Amino acid sequence: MAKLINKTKLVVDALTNSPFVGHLNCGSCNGCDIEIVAALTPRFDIERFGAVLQGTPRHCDVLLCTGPGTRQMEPRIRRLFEQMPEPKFIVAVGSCASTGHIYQETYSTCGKLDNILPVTAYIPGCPPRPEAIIDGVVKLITLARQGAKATEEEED
Amino acid sequence: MSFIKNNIYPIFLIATGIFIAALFLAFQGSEAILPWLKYFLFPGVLFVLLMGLFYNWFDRKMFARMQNRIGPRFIQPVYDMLKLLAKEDITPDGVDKPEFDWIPGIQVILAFLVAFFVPVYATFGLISFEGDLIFVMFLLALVGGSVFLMGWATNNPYGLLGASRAAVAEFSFEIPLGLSLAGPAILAGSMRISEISVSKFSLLNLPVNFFAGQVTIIHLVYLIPLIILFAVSILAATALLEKVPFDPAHAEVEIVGGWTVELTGKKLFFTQLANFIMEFALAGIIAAVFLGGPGINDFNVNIGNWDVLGYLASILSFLIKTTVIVFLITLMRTLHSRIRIDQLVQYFWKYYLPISLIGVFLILVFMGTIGVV
Amino acid sequence: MTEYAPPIPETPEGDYSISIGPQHPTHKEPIRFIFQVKGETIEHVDLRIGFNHRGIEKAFEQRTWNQNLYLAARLCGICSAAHQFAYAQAAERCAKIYDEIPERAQYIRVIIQELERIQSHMLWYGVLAHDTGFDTMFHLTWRDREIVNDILEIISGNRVNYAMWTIGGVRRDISRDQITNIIPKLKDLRKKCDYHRDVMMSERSFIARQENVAILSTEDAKRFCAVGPTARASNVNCDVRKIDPYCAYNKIDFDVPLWDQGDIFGGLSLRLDETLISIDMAIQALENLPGNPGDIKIRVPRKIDPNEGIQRVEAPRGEDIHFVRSNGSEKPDRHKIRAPTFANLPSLVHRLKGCQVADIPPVIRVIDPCIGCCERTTFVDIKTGKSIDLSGEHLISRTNRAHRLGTRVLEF
Ligand code: SF4
Repeated sequence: MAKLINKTKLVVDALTNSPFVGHLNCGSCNGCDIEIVAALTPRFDIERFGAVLQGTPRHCDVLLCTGPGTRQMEPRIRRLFEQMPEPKFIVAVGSCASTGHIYQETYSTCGKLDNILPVTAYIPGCPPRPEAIIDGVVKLITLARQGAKATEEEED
Repeated sequence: MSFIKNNIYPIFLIATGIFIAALFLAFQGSEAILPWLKYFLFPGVLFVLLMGLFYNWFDRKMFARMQNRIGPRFIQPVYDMLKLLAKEDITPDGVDKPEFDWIPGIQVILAFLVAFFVPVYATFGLISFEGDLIFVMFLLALVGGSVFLMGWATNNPYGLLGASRAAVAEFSFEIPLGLSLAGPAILAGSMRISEISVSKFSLLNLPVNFFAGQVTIIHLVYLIPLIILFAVSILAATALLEKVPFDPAHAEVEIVGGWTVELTGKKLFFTQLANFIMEFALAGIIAAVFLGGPGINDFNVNIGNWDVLGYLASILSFLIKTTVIVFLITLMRTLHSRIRIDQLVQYFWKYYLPISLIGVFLILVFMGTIGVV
Repeated sequence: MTEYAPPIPETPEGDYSISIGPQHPTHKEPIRFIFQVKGETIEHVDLRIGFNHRGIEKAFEQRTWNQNLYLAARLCGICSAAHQFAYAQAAERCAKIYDEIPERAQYIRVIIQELERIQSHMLWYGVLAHDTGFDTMFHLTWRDREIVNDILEIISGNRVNYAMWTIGGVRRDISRDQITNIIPKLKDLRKKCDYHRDVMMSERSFIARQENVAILSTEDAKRFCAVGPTARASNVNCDVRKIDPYCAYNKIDFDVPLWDQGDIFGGLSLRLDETLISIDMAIQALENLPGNPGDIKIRVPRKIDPNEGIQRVEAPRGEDIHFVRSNGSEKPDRHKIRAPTFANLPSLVHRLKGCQVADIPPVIRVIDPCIGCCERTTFVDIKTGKSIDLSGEHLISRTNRAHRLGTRVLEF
């Protein structure tokens, strides 16, 4: 959570209350992807928390990554990550992204997303239910807030 | 305590309103301070800013409710804006430097300028002079030009596509928009927004005046062209604000936001803010031209200096009218799907331009036969 | 890290080139199109696939027959049941027990297949509406899609990867209670789908985007070997459920809708029709569920004698072919998948030429691409040891040659 230190409370509030999410498929099976899209729709509706799905990484704060990260996608994943403005967070959605799942030993994946990007939060499940995805994003937000508070106190 | 915490933003808003009102009352007679209050607090920068954010929330919330979703919180636009300010500002390689840096700011200035022409509580806006409707049209055209330049400066194929589409769309909707605003202006016999808004023959004032006995039943025939022109102006405003169905220049799923694709941090903040304020300003101007702005009939002409209730009533009527217009724009984007750029050009040149011409023509014909009392 | 993909070729045909993918809001899956554009018209299309290659076919050879069931489901999250089904049936053919599957299991297989088709088609037309900017319809369809997800959850306990099949039957039974619970929901869903149909067929701005766009004629559909709804929208009757019935499809009564326009609107109306028919089929199968409760699977030995098995099923996107070969051990010797999207890609490249840039999202959407299914192979240049991409041009020329000479498509 080091990204949020040296920010005032108002800024931390703003940053954590309006997560613009991007969605990146790093070689997943689509299962996680449709659950992410389902989280946008009336039954779950993540816009309640201010989360809006954005198309370009330039506008994103949180990148929801699915899939283990295939070798051919790897340079792209890195580049997309670099295009995002700071402060940025990566969330690994699904078992694939968290641990590699059934693709662990295959020859053409990077094992898990950790091997490519610095992941902040993991949402397990194959696929995780939309509730779990929302919960993951909310947990990320609370974590970010606590982290910011903790560092603030340390500095005092 | 928790009530205050949960509703901090509305409470803050109301408190600000009371504070401003107190300031106004305190400096009522002072010629030195009152103009400054007007420009910076109400109905100047602060008010326009808050209204822009409010209408953004209203638009999103209505959009969500009509889709069976819950939608964003009331405070959401404020958080969004603050967050964008706190984000890193990236300037990609290969962009055209001065344009890329400056245009977002210029857009905000243009949007504020347009908003200053909106009459909010009295018949006059902050700025008002003879022929200001033409000047407003000119400012709107400048906004379109800035969008084109911005897309050009991003040096991104999506940005280029968005820019060229924005330019084409601009050429299409500008003339119907101008014509539709010209109709009421002809009726009122003035190109000044404040005078159009107090005209007896605006869309809302006409029936009111009829019941008040000021115009005869024959004059109600003016309602036909006025309704046509009002509809065209709403359509053109939708196109100007780049909302579905007329948003091929912005199309999120086709060209990833078009000309905004490379913007981050503060620049994105400025363009978005400009868009929000533009929505408020356009709604305000359409309300002034067609629905009589803040006034109900020529009621507010008679308000005295200390008539607080009168002011409140006119502000309320202004808010209701703009809200209705914003709601109509939201309804457009809820009920339709995005059309292609060639279809947009077709719609505007083939249908809306002739329709608005017919509207203006009808007004002229009626004026020739029935006349304006 | 070097990029494997060769650089974008110089633009001989267009003014400039647009690259869509591997990450783009239109289609979330990693595939890359490079369009040479003149004005707003597409002159030339280049297709790069392979971003989603995870080496599943190799992984199949490292796991036992039963473990592979779960791997097959994870080929693709949207048509997981179809893949798992094709694999299970191929394995059954390989083990020579295909004819002994209990009837109740066969009916349950049909039910799950049709429920999956419903959710896949609803997903498809929802996303099509989103692609054309009709967000309201997208939200409404996805709201109603939750009903069928609920039904699948009642039956299998999961929303996406159902894991219902096993070699020799199905893993879970459907009880009386569940049936009485499900049928009203399906009827409710049918009403809602009717409503979707009405809205989509009467919204002018929505239809204007689709009519006479990206037409695939019947000859072209045959020439490019299109399958599934893509081919049926061009009036090619290729429903495997009808022409080569498997499990209980010959005992269930249904129509195969055909459409002869071959444009996007044809694809839309066809899928809307199919959704309704699938709901009817699911109700029919649920009402006539035969056999005794519990009689849903037969035992299969862990090792399968050397043999081969091939099975094709009608996945929501078209004909899906699985081939397995056993060598007498616990693990398959070879497993090969031909996913429907892969068969539809050549026709897609053909259709994209001459379209407008604004039409790209709906045209790509029309074949219902599921890149997760189709990414089975990476071509490796043996001399340099690097992977090479198969461009759309290659794919088309290979398809044509294969059509002419009767050889395989992927022969170098
Ligand atoms: S976690 Fe499961 S559903 Fe998600 S991408 Fe991996 S295999 Fe697919």
